[in-house]
Amino acid sequence: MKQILSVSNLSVTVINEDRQLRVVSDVSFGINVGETLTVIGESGCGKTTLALALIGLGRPGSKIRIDGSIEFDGTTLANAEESNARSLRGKSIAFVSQNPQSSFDPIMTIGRQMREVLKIHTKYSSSEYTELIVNALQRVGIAAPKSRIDDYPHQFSGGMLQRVMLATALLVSPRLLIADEPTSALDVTVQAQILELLLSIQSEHNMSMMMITHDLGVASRVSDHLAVMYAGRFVESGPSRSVLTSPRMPYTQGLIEATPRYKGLNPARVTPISGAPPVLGAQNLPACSFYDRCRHRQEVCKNEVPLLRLVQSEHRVACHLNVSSTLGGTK
Amino acid sequence: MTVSQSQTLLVELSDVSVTHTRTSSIFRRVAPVQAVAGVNLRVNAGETVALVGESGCGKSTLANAIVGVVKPSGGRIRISGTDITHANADELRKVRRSVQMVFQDPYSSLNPRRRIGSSIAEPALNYGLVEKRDVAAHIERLLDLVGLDPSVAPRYPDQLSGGQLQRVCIARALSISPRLLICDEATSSLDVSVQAQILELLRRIQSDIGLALLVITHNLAVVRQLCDRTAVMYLGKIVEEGPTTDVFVKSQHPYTKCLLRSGLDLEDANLKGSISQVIQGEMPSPSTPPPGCRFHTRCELATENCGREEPPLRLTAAASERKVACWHSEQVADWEPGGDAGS
Repeated sequence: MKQILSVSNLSVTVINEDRQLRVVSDVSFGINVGETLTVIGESGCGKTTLALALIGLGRPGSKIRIDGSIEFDGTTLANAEESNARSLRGKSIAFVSQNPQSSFDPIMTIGRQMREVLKIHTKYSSSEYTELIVNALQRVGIAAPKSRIDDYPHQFSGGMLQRVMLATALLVSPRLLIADEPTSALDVTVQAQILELLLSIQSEHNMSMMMITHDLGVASRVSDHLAVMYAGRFVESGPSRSVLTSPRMPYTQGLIEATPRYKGLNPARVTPISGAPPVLGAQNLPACSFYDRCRHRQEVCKNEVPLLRLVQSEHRVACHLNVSSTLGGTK
Repeated sequence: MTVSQSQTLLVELSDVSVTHTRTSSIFRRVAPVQAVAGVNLRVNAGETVALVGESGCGKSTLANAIVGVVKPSGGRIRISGTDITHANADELRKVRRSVQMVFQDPYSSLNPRRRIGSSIAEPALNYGLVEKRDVAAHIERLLDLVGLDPSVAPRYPDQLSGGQLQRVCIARALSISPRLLICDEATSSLDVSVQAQILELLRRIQSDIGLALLVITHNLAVVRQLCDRTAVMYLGKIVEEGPTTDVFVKSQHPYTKCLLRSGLDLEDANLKGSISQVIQGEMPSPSTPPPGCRFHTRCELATENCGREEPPLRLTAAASERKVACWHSEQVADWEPGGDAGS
């Protein structure tokens, strides 16, 4: 299958005034055309930094250094000339973030902000803008879109503004949509609406997606492939179903057991993972960064970084444990 | 509805309403918002009760009314028999000792310039429950109760992780041995692995010291994991109430069923696309609630009558105190929201 995005040995170092932090370490993956890769992980694991780095952005107020290669549809992206990166960003690759309120300019109407996107990234004539915007808003389920073009962001609820952001991202018919926790701030009923919308747009346009989330329930509904991230590294990746039903890495298994459930007559009780994820930039970590919290740790885990290796078709695990015999799936 | 006061009754809300009025600004008048509209709820000693609903349903406002942070515009709140809506300052102070609260964001709940130990001891010193010389032992006992090492006592909040800080907040709440702990989205800002730790901790403390818990959350899984009884709120009203398993498995209100179907539980997961979008639109604004049943504008089962007459919260099973506010509740069991089979 053709890959739209191919990333190999990507490391991202965040450079602040006085120190350098390696936030993403040696990450490799590909996203097939029309498919979704979900990166799952807890706060501080580097998932948002990874997503931003793909489009050449750092966190506000800090610089980043990118090592490794990022190829988008055959074009090299990593450390590309700003003008090249800029033409791809927002046009072929769109980004939707967690917080719609802070992604819009509060003193500009949404119509004006959407017009700006069309002006910069498309060749439509300005007489067509209004119609394109109305269509885009309609598609994401905004009622009476014509009357809302001149509304300001604060006049929309959180769920509605998230739809507007989605509509803005889709104006340019991106080939890859990167969505960073697009529904985490929303109520469950609205979350279901937005996710269903994303999936229908994906299949309509054969759009590829990279989803960032900490929610395994969300991940399981939208992903073809899953990558589990811990302390800046991918520790397990593979077809979504395979990772969720037969997780090989103790961290993945722990995450699944720690996720509270509510369906069924007698839902399983949560089992916590002891300890907390390592703090960003912590020094003197053991070679396997999950060592301190791992139920199956051995001497070798302290000294040797476990590399991702293939354990099953497309399913990769970074763990020293000979997992297949020791750990079972959840079901 | 006067139920004879059993000796275990801890908190009783009768017809409580809370209306937020903002003084009109020079630019425009701001309409009053009725955040809570006539709620009846009882929490017995040692019981775990959940108030679940989406943002804007009034669940946090109700919690704030119980601790006395906002004043109800109508109705009565009794805590251990004392009517706090009409109590004087002395009575209030006494009553407040028995109700403590833990919030969503532990960072902003603690004074950043105060050492952890001092924060934990403060409520007990304030109420004169410990002598100065026993303070260290008091702190140590509480830290131990919430699973923290005594060595964190001299540290400051920015030296601890989110999960540790939430434990500190729980320890501080327990400092004056309350009988009811209100947790307002207390695990919502935590990572999954840490959230599970706090859920386990709350469960253990609850059963060890017989504390009553009122869990305010939008997270259905947290409710199912932690609570004996569940009350579902929609637009300022309780629409369904009962034992948690009954409410989850045999829902009687269409909104409850929609809410449960919308949630993305891991249990029946593993299939791309298996999302049931069973409810359209968003909750109407609480400043202009729809007439009749407040849910009728989004309800598939609604008939003309639902838009006219408001269904009362009525008892459907006396023994389990099962209640529902719906004219069509008997249809809900066989109904699948969204037309086709959901999950």
